[in-house]
Amino acid sequence: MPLTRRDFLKLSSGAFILPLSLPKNLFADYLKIPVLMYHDISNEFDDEYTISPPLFAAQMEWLYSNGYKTIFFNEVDKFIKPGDDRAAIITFDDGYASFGSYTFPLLKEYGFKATINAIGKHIGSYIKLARNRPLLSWDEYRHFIKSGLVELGCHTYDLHIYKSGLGILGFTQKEIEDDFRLFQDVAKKETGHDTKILAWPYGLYDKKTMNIAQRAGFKYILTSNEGYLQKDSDLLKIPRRNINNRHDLVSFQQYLRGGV
Amino acid sequence: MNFEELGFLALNNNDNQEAINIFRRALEKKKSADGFIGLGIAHYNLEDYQTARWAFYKALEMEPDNKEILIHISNVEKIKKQSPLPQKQSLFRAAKDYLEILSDGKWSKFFVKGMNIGLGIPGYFPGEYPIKKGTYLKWFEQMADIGINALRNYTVHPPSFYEALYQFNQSGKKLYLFQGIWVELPEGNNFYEPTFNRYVQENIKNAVDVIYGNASLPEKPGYAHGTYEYDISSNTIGFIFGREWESCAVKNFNELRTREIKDFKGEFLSIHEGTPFEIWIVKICDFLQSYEYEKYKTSHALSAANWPTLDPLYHPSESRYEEELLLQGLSAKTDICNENEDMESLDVAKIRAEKGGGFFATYHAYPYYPDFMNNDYLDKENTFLAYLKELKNHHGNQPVLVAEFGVPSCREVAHWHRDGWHHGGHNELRQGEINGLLMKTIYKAGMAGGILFSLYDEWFKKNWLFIDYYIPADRKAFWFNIQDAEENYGLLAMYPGYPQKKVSLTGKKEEWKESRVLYEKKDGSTVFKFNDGFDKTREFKRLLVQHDEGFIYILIEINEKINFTEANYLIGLDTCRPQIGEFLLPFNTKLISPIGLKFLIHLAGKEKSRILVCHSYDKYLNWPKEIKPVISKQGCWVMMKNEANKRRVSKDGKKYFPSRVFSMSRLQFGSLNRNSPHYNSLADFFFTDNIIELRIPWGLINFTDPSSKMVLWRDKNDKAIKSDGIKIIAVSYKPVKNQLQAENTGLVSNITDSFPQTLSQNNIATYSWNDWVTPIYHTYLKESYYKYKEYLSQIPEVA
Repeated sequence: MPLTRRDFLKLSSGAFILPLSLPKNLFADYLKIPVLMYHDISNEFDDEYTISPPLFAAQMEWLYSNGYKTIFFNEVDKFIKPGDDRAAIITFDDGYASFGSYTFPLLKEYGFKATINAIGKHIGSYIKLARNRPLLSWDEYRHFIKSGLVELGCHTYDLHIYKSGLGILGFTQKEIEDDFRLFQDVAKKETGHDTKILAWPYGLYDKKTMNIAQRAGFKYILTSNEGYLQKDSDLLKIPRRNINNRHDLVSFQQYLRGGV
Repeated sequence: MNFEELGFLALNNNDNQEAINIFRRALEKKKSADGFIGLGIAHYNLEDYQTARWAFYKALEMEPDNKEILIHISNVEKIKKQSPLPQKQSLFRAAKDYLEILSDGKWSKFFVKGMNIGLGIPGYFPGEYPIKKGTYLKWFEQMADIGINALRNYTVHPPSFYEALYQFNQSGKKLYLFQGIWVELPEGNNFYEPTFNRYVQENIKNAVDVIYGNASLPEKPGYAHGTYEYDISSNTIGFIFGREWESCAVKNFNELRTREIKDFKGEFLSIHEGTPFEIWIVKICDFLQSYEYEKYKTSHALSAANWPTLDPLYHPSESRYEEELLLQGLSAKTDICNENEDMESLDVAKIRAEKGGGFFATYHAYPYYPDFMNNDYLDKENTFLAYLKELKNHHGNQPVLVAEFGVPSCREVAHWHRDGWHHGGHNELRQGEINGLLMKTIYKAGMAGGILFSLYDEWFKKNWLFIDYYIPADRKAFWFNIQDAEENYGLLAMYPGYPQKKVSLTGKKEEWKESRVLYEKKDGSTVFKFNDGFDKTREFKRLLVQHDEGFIYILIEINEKINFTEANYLIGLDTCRPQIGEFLLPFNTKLISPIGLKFLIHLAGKEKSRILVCHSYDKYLNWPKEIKPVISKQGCWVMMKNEANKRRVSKDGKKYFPSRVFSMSRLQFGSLNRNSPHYNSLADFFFTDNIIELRIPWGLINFTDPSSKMVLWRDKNDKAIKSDGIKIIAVSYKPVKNQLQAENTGLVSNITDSFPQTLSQNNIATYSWNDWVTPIYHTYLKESYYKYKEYLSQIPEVA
């Protein structure tokens, strides 16, 4: 029986996840930027990687009504400074088609920005996670990117694979290099943009994969580690919080407000 | 003003059709001789003498000595109809590319600038045939005044329609008719089923006999009846048979007859290599012309209704529902027929006229539906033009009439269009502009003409976004939903209230004379004062509420001039079951409402005001699960949206088209008064001096039928439940500079004032109303009417 990603994480208990990337200098005055990690938005599933459309919409409304700005990774420097500006980064992994129905309209409504980390091979197709779930197409990515509200990140071209619990760690250096290059080439051809963002499949990485990613030119590397993006954070190990139906509006706010 | 007084005012204004509803409403409340007299006069003025006589006699029963009634009865008895002149001729024919008119013995091209006319005025479903002769005459004048030269009905109307048309055309003005012939679908989709065919032939014969003023149709539920003695054959352009045939019905029929391709040659029409359905269409049309010729020795031009769903073109962007899901890794039910928009064709280009008035093609074509009307032509300058040209090219020299097109002036968008010619979301001015641009496009594409949909707003109609939410559905004609695209196509508004809009959003206090004062405060006390010089702009004085068949109106009066930089206001609505809903108000107000709220209006200025819904009660976000409020104290508010176009995949699976989602939550500032510099027919709120006025559509706050106080409540037990009325609270707060959140007060909550003053369950007022059956309305010509006139004047009638 194929394992779901949730099952996989439960089984692995994060054994492959590297130690948390702790902030080097923590200044209370400096803004801590929460980085939200969403996956699918759906009423049909209720798992670790799904949030219901009404809860997601309520979270976005809360961000808006509380004056949050949502930013791209390359704007981080402008925002991490003393002051009471509120900023958050919204990311979506895998690139589910539900983004078009439930997220993009809210981005336009609120003037929010979001980053989608797509799995190259499955763009315009679907993946099985409990059941088949449709994924965004290049046409849609072009449409979103054109709005200036969406940027594309890499979730590997075709290494988002269980691989006996190893994930990307189970591939050779060449396989990983080729994969990153393929993603970057295809994304450049399809969108005209270079890809500077990488999100590790299953949040798994090590020194070897990190070196490959850096050499491939990724400037912002997203993990699943707990924490916030803040002054002197390592942009190659950006922490994120996975948001799903377990985050009711109160726990969502707690994370946003820094009370992890 | 009571209903009787209002009715006599309507008679005085010559608004006789409106007066009928008003007097009926008065009589529902209390039977009186005056009510019946009023009803009688309204019918008399509209030349429905039979009903007038009945009403006067009802009045006489109540007041036998009333001499005025006897005079009315004597006037009715004196009426003698003039004998109409027989005409029995056809002055039109379908020729090369266009329809032609015979004038002084010479045929010339006639470009149709038409208008569709339905049957559903407020309070009635079409099968009740409520429209009177006087009303038709009024409408004919209004149509002719803007350059309409033809009108199209969908079925046989009552005799009063033909009498009015005869009279109108005798007066020297001209309005030509496309007589529609409506048919239902056969059982089992077998179009050759004998009973069905007899029924179709009967409808055809009736329609033909009716335009020659030679029919006497017996009373039958759902059908017009009476004696038809006015021959309007010379004012009839032709017949349009059928409807927007459902693709599943056509597919099933073609398959039932194994898709056998055949030829058919009738006396008047023939077809080469037709599908079973096309053959059936030709046979039926041939029957019509044969019957007409046999009986009246002439024949009119003829067409069969069609639409893009069944057009003969190939649409690469429009994959089938089942295929599209498969491409996305999903499965669809395959044991039912899904109404796909490009799986069947009805190709009338194959039809040839052997003799007689000829045959022309007819399409109902809107620029936003089906999706391929955009998606096939995204690289073209004008998507609609590109489609029509392709269509015309297919039909060669056959005239092609666009017998329906247009955009509605509703609040909600039901389909997207690339250039903003959406299915709704237009104010009345923009509606006229887009209609004009569409008509120009039709002309440019070489069509035989266009028939705009439609003359007036029809309350009984239901758009796909609302069809599941009218509960009970058989009361839909009793109320108006400005959210619904389908009921807002008219150039002539059918709008609640008489003699004008109850609230015009102009800050006129006299419009609130009959409202209910829900809250009032005289002592100037508040919850919290910042002592910043602006406390009075956060201080409530009064909150008034009223309603009509389309909206609930709220007025809040503040103690000083409105200043949104210093004060924001929240109005919470609880439409049903106060123990359930969202209790926490947002924006850092930290206020727990004593009742569960379903909707929340945030008044924060011209640009930022919105109406939010508690997150479990939003139709779009919760579909297909339960849609009903749940208890929450977390402040889970969301914006209301709908997905007008779902994500699409092209037939070859290579091209994806993003979904299109539209917001309903933004509140538009403006006034409904045309003379106001802020005029906008879709305005939701207005403020001036120290008052704010709001117009909230019933359809926006999940009422499924305000006339019986039903609200949406979708779970395993219910679809809708009865409301006792609307409980309302209001609070004010001081916003942090350039933000939406409340400034801290140092108290438990950050509000500065509230209605009720002490926020407890017992203090909260409920606005309720009596159920109604007969709606009150008035008509007015929308701005689109005048705008469309400008466009029509630029298009020559002689093509």
